Amino acid sequence: MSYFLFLFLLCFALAIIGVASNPSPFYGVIGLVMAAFFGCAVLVGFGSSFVSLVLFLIYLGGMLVVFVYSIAMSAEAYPKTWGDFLVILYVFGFAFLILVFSFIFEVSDIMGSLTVDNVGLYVIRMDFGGVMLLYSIGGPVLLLCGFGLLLVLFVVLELTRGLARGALRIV
Amino acid sequence: MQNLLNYIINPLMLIIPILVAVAFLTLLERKLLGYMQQRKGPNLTGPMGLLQPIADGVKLFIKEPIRPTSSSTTLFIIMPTMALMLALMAWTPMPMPTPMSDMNIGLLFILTLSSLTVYSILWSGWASNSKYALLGALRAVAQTISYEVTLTLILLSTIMLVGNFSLSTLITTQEPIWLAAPTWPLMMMWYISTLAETNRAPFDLTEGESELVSGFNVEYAAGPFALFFLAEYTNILMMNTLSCMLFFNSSNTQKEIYPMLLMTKICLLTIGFLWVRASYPRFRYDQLMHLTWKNFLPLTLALLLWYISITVSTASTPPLL
Repeated sequence: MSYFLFLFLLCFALAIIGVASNPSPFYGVIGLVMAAFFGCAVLVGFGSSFVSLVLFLIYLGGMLVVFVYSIAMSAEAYPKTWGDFLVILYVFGFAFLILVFSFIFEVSDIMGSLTVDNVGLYVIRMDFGGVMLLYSIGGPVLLLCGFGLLLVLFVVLELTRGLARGALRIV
Repeated sequence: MQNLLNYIINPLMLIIPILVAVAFLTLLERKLLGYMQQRKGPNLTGPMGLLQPIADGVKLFIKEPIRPTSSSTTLFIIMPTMALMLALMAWTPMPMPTPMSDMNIGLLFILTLSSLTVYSILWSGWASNSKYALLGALRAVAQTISYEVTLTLILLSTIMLVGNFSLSTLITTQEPIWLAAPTWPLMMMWYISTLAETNRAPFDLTEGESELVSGFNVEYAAGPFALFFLAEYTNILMMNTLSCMLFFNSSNTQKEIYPMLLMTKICLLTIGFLWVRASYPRFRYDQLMHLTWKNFLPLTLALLLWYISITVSTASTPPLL
């Protein structure tokens, strides 16, 4: 399983590079979905399968909408892919940066010594337990997060308001 | 040897029967539609047309696949494979009666895979770089994600009665009675939602012939098209299996009879799909959306609360682990 974990982490890094190297929005979304997939696969590797699947479901729905919007908003006949000259420069640049940073900040022991059921001590797995805590003790924080999201919704609505009054418009 | 058995032979033993079943499902569909329309359907290839699916498959796979020059080739080629792979992967947690991998979150896994399937439709439609394919894909996506909401809520309400996401627990829960009895409104909505989820008639707006030619797969031909076709029918069988697991699970039988009973029930539900296709006209698009957002969603939400509160109030909550 640890070999799988390394493979997933590698693919995760590659997917993140794919997003960050700034191809056209469509391919950016594809890279983001890949990143979500491999990130959740890493979570499964650590044992918290429930949280990873729930996160993946949410990401998938979100990315779907983003992709459809980017199709609707920008129509390019030949969108930039990762093979284009500028983009591939970015790809190699980011890969180099990741290598350098991974040598500087050497992260050892990412696996930790605990498993999600605390080496068989707990009946309830950590990720299930975490969800319960989120709704019981973590209630106030959850409310705060919900309020934050509502605020963001209004901010986005104001930003994209129609015609002359919005902040985002064709100049 | 152990590895060979685990990683190659076990999956193959699951995949091959599914693909054979899918092949004959296409034949069954054509025959049944034929007889419902007062004609014979395929009857020349082999005895009573039994070899027709094989002939179709051979024909499709030896044709030359088309790669439109303006398409995004990589995505265009990968997507059919992804569609079929996802459709086959969804069978892994199915206990028939022993699952290939016993997951504690099997139902969630299937849900995730079915929402990934939406991506294969969307990306294949987009990658073909054609207006018809893109519009077909968008309509398919809008439809499937709308119905996925109700599917998820229905699943959650049954999970409230079952106790966890594992499919094996469903068998234990239904020892006294089929879940179809206490949750029949859910069951009816589930069946209709699965029809919509698999893009079957009367919800097959993605391929409304006069408007969209054939939906998201216009640009596909030969092998890739065959993969999409297989994926679609695998999904139909998978959804019906899931319906049987959820609502008609006969768990008091012996292990040896269980697959037989299960398959009989799957066949009946699938024939229901075919019957619906033969006799219902297509929905209008707004009617389709009204059905899910204005009828199914409020009902399933109310029923979810009902099933939560009834287990709590009668002190009969399942062991939630």
